[in-house]
Amino acid sequence: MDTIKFNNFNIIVVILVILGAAGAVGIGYYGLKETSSTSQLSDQTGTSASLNSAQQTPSSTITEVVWPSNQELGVGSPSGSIPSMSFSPVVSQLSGPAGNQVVDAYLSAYQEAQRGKESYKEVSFNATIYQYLPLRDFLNALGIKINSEVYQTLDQTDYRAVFCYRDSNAIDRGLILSLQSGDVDHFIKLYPQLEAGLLSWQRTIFSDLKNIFFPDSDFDTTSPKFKTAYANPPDADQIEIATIKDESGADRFVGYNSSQQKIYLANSQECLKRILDAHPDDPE
Amino acid sequence: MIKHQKIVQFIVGILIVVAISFPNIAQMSPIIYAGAGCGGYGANTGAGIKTSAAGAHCDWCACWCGHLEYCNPPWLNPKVPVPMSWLSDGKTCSCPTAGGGSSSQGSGQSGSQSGSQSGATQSTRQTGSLTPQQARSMANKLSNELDYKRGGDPWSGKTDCSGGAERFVVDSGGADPARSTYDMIKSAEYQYSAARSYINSGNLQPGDIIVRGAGGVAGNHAGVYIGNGMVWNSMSGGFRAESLGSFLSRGGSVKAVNLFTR
Repeated sequence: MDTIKFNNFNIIVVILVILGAAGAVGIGYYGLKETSSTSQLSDQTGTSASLNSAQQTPSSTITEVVWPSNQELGVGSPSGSIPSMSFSPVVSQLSGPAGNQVVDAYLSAYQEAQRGKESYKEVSFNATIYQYLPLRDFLNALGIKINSEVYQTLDQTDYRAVFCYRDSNAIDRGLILSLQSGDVDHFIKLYPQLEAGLLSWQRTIFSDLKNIFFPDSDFDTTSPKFKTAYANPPDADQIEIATIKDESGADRFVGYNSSQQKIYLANSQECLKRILDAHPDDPE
Repeated sequence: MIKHQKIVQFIVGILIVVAISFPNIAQMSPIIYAGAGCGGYGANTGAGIKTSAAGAHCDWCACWCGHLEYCNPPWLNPKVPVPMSWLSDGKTCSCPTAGGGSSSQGSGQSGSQSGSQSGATQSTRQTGSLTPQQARSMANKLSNELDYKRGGDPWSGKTDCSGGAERFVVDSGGADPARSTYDMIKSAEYQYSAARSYINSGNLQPGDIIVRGAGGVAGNHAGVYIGNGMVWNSMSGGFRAESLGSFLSRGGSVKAVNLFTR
């Protein structure tokens, strides 16, 4: 009888253990499955993020610029002398006007991109006193201009210089400008002005951006003929591009795209493609 | 003793087979798969007790807000994202409507009638389409409420481009277009070249959804036309407006236009 009781008890215990184990397996499986699903999502996101990090997401650097320097140094006024910059492949020859720390910072970022062979690098500029270096002072310090209609639509705090490493002798340059933020009504008013301004800017954009895009070139007054192309052929990422010859006969390129409340500009189609690839849609 | 051992072996065998065949049986038992229809828009498809992976119990319910997939418990179809209408706190089921309230009225079926590949089908626009002012107001409201998250629930505060477009249309009182860009393309009144022609002809109306190829990434991108030449869509982590030309300049070609219908 004792044996039977023991056996019955044993059976009950065994069944309970098995039931518990089966339940645990079920719960565990479900839990793992859910975790796996989440992990998979995370992995996908992570993979995507990794890919983005490696191939798309820009390598961004915040470069501090001592403030104020430009205005006090007399290179910041629109009518002031335009600093000259050399983008010689020999790093040691890179120089800007003494004391123009915006130029120094810009050239320093250029050097870094060259040394690091960074295929894509975005640089934003901060001042030490203010949280940002106003776009106005960035433009003035580098001696570049933006069509006034376009300029009026731009945010003073959110802009970036772009460097695209091509080879040891060439780093292409770009610029990312952001539109002033606001509500929908704001953009309804802003976009017609922007789009008209961009068309108007095509006439002078080569010479306006000469100091960062073509520091060694001079241009005559010929208006470039822009045409529509695609950064990612056959039909993705529409860009406006033009190529003209400088006075030495060398081909010079400017391309741009206006989307996502930004204006993306570059002095090579490859660099413009990299910029757009680094700023993809928020899809799905 | 031998008899008991055989019984035990039999039970163990059954349990092992069951455990292998239905690993999530512990969660399945209280769940009712509502199936197609689900009782209509806003209908409560059932309620019960869900056992979480951690072993805790919580009340659950589900309601159908226009999508068949909302009827699927996610653990029966893990590919379906957890829908916004699955509640885990025992609250009454509700579906979002214009103004952010809840409703159990109307049909949740997509208002987009099956379109033609050629786009020859001319959709019959119902009266009471969105005015540009209404569309702008909705765009401003949702721009403040939504951040970008791929696959996110449109009513959770974080969603993707098609989730934002769906939220925009449904909150504006329109028929639910679909949750994904793929389904939006399938059900669109105008597809591919017909969609492009429709846009070029200047026929876009506030609330219409444009789906195009995504720029820089695989997949599609959706935006809502809000009038005045503007498209509201997700960009750089948030939802904002840009010009139609700006919107169309990125990504691949236009794939579909879903008309706003009530």
